[in-house]
Amino acid sequence: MTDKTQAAFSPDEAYGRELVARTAFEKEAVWLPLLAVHHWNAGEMAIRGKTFTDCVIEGPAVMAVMTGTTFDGCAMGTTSDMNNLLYKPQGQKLAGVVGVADCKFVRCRFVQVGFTGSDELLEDLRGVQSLSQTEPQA
Amino acid sequence: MTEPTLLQTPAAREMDPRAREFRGGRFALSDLYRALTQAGGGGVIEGRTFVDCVIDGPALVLVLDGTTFDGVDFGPCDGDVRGMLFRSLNGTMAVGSIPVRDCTFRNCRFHNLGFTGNETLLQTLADQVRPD
Repeated sequence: MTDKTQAAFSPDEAYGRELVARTAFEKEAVWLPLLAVHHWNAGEMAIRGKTFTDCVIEGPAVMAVMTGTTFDGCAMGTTSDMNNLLYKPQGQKLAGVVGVADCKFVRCRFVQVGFTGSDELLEDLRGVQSLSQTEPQA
Repeated sequence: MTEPTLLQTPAAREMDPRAREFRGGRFALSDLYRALTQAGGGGVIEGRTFVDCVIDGPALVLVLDGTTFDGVDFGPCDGDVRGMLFRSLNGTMAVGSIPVRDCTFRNCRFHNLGFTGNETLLQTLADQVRPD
């Protein structure tokens, strides 16, 4: 039996749903604002449960780093001072940022991406080496 | 169901990022910024006038000198405008934000935009933007 609803999706919508359903990204360029919008259109207010390996994560965007998200061997930005990448929220509800929860970023390179979150998270990120020692793979 | 946000809509694709005035329509700020930089327009949205536009995020707007907001709906903030305000820990580079200088926003509606800038700007927005 064919999925009649699938036929009603535009190519953009079908692409967006496919992106939302994926749990792994490898050696790809990921435009973070677009990924966020596809999730919101699918009713998911955060990007959740995905692993990005050897990817380039592109902004401009500010990521709200939520519970369970980790960074392993990543180049966080083209700066030696992590403070250049960090934002302290002034309120409780965070508007304009991309929520990312339970995601893993492995050997990824972030371009034009800033980060925000709890005071504890910001303190942890301040201690991260912002420039990776390895060459980016993507 | 909330109105879906679309990036690179057909209408957005037809926009000329180098135009000085944008009147009506709906677009994502990151779309405009990306198109502008790809068109060689530099790393700052500068000297533009936006009238009656709906401007979507997600995006953090770095509000620089000369940018004004007149009759703008900043979007829902659950009664606390500070939810859309962010302070850069460095205060100078603001990586990941979209710089906007000498721009006028008139009768626009913002959807999922955050704002950053100097202390004066943050305090002004906190004081003057009416919560929903």
